[in-house]
Amino acid sequence: MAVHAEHLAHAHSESWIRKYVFSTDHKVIATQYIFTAYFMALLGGLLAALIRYQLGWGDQASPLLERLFPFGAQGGVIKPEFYLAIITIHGTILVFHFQTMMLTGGFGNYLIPLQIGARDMAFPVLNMLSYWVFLASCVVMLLSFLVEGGAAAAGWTVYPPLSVHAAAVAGSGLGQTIWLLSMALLIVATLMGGLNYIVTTLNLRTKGMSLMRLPLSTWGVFFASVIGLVTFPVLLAGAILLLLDRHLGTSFYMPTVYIGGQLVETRGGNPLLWQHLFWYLGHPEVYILAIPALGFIGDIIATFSRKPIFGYRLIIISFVVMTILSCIVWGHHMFTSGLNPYIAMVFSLLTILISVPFGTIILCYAATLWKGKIQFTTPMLFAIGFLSLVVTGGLGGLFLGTASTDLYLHDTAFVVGHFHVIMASSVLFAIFAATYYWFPKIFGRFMSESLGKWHFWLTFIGVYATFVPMHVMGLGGMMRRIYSPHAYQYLQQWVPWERVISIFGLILIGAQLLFVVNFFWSLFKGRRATDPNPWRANTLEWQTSSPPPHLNWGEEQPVVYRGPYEFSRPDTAEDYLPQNTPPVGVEVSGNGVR
Amino acid sequence: MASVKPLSKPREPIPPFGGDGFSRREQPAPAPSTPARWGVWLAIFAVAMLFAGLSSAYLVHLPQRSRFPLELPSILWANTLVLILSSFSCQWALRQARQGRALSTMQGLGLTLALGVLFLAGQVYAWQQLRDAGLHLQTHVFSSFFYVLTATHGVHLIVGVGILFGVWAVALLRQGTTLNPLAVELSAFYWHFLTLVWLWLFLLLNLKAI
Ligand code: HEM
Ligand SMILES: [Cu+2]
Repeated sequence: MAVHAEHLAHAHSESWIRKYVFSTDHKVIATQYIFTAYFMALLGGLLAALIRYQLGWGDQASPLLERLFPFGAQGGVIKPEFYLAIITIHGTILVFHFQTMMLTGGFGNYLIPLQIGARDMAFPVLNMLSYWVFLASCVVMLLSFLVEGGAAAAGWTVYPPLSVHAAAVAGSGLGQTIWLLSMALLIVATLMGGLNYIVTTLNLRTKGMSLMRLPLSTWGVFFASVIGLVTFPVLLAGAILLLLDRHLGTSFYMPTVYIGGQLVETRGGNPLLWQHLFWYLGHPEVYILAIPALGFIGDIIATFSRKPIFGYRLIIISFVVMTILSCIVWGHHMFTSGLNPYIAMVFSLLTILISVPFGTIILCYAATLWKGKIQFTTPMLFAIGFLSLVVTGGLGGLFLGTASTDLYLHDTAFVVGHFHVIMASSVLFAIFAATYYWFPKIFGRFMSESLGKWHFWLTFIGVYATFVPMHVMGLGGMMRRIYSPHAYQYLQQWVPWERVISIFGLILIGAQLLFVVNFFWSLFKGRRATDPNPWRANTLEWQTSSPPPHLNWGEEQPVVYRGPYEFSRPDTAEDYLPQNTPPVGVEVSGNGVR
Repeated sequence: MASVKPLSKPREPIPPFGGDGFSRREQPAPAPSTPARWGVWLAIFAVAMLFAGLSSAYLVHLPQRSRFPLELPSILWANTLVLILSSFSCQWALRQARQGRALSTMQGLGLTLALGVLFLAGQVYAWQQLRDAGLHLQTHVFSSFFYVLTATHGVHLIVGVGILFGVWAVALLRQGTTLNPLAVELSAFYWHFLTLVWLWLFLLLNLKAI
C-alpha cells in the first residue's frame, strides 16, 4: 500500500505528455483507443456511403464525386478498381480497427481494472505499446489509398490468387502489401492487449473478487482475448506466407492460372490453404466481437431491469462453449470450395450447435427483462435493440449454416445481409449502448438522452430497412461484391431495391451525425455526473469517482463481498447492493447468483 | 420502500473456483511473480499457435511431397543434438539458480548460449548446402516450407539467445549477487519451448507423406 500512496503523490507531477499522450494509465489508453476506433468508424461509414451510392445510382455520373475523387471517379463514375478498394477497406477497418479494438482495447481496457478493483493493468507499458502499434496499423492502412494502384482490392478476406498476383487487379500491387503489413501490426497490438487483459483478470483481482463474482463485461473481454490468442497468430502465419508469395516468388497459395491471358506458372500452391488459415481466424473473430458485446449488454440489462442477471453461471458456461466451438466451425465459409461433403456435414452440425449457447444467453437476458422494473434509458434501448438484431441475424445464420442451402446462398447479398445484421449492426448497438452507459464514468458528464433516443430510433429502423431486404435480394440471386447491378440483364428487377436500400442506408449513416454531435457536445457541455453511480449499478467501476482518479482508488483498494448483480433484494431498503457493501445482519457473503 | 424481511436462514456462500477470495489467501495482491509467469506462458502459447498455423499449412501439402524432391542436409541431425544438449545445460543452470549458486548458473547459461549459437550456425550451413544443391526458396513448395519453417524458428531462437544473454549479462554486471531465479526460469521455459518446436518441425520435415 505504501508503494501506491507514493505513486498517488507522484502522479500529479507528471508532464502533460506523459499524462495524456504516452500514458501508461489504462484509462487514458482506453480513451485513446475509443477516439481512434470511432475515427476509423467514421471513415468506414463514409466508405459505406460511397458503396451505397454506387449500388443505387452507379449508372449515373455525378460531378460531385469527380470533384471529391479526381482519380477514383473520373467522369463522375466510381471506377471498378476504386469500388473494390472501397469495399475492401470498408470491411477491414470496420471489423478490425473499429469493432475489435473498440470492444477490447477501448471498453475492455477501461473496464477490466476498474471492475476487478485493480489499480491498473498487469503490464502498463505493454498496454501503452499496444495502443501505439494499433495506431500505426490505422495510419498504414489509410495511407494505402495514396499509393500507386490504390488500396487493397481483394475484399476483407483477401483470397488468393486475386491477392497474390499484382496483375490481377490494381489494388493487388503495393496496396495489398500495405494491407498485410497493417494487419500484421494489428495482430501484434491485439496480442499484446489480449495477453494483458487475461493476466490482469486472473491475477490482479481485489480481495473478495472471485471469478464467479466478475461482471459479465470483464468475462466477455476475457474470453475474446483467449480466442484472439488462439487464432490471431494463425492469421499471422497465413499473412507471412502471403507476403512471401507476393514478394519472394514462393507459391504457397498460387496454383497455375491464366491471369489476363498470361499463363502464370507456379510450383504446387493451393489457394484453398489461405481460405482455411483466414477463416480459422475469420470465424472466431466474429466471436471476439460477439462475446464482449454480450458481456456489456448483460451488465446494462441487469442494471436497467433492476434484477439479478438470470442464469449467471449458465451464461459463463455458454461463453466457454462458444469460445471452444467458435474455433472449430470455420469450414462453413467454404462449403462451395469443394470441401469433402462429410467434412461439410461436420462443420454444418457444429455451426448449428453454436446457436445453442448463443440462444441460451439471449434467453437468459430475456428472462432478466421478464417482470423487471425496466428503465428505458438510451443505453437500455440500444441493449434491447441488440437482442432484437441478434435474433433476426441468427435466423439468417441457420440457413447459411446448413450446407445444402448455403450452396445456393453463398456469395449472395443474403450473406451480406446476415452479417450486417448480426455482426455489424448488433455489435455497433453494443458499442453505442456501452458508450451511452459508461460515458458519465469516463468523461464525468452525461450524453443527451433526447438526442440519444432520436439516434436510437433512426438507427434501429435504419439497420432493419437496410439489411433485411438484402436477404430477399440474395434469395433472388443478387451476387455480393459486384461493381454494378445495373449491368446485368437478370438483375434488373433488383435495381429499384438497391435504390431503396441505398436511401435507407444513407439515412442510417446520416443518423450517426446525431451521435457525433451528441458525443462532442456532451464532452464539453453535457450535464455533470456529480453522482459517481448515477445508474445505481453494483459493479465496482461505479463505486469510485467519475472520472476515476489516477490509480483508480484512493488509499485502499475496494474489498468485494458479493456478486455483481444484487438488485431488488427483498430484504434491503435500497434496490441495489454494490459489490463492496459489507454483509448486513445475518447475511453471509454470497454471490448474488441465483 | 421495500419492507425488510429477515432471511429464514443465512445464505451460504457458494464456493466458486478459487474460493470466495477470503478463505485461501489473506493477501489482497497475489505474489508479484505470478503476472510475469502468466504473461510469458501466454506469449509462448501465441508463438506456439503461429507454428501450429505454419505446420498445418505444411501438412495439407504433404500428400504431394513425393512429387517434389527435397533431401534434408544431414547436418540437421547434429544441429538437433546440439539444441537438445543446450536445453539440458539450460535446465542445469536453472537448478543452480534456484539453489542460489550464481557462478555455476552463469556457466550453465554461457554454455547454453554457446550451444544456441552453434545451432544457428549449423542451420545456416544447412541452408548453404541446400542452396548448393539448387534448392532455393522459390524452387517448389517444400523447399519454400523448409526455409520458412527453419527461418521462423531461427528468428525466435535469436530472440531466445538475446534474452538469455540479457539474463547472463545482468548477472555478470551484478557479479552474481542478486540473481533472479524467476528470470532464469522464464527464459529457460522459452528455451525448452523452442527445442520442442524444433523437434516437431524436424519431424514434419522428415515425414515423406501421410
Ligand atoms: C446463429 C449462429 C450463426 C450461424 C449459424 C452463422 C452461419 C454463417 C455462415 C454459414 C456463413 C457463411 C455464409 C457464406 O459465405 O456462404 C456466415 C457468414 C458470416 N457470419 Fe454468421 N452465423 C451465425 C452467427 C454469426 C455471428 C454471431 C456473427 C458475428 C458476430 C456472424 C458473422 C458472420 C460474418 C462476418 C460472415 C461473413 C463473412 C464473409 O463472407 O465476408 N455470424 N455465417
Ligand atoms: Cu463463420
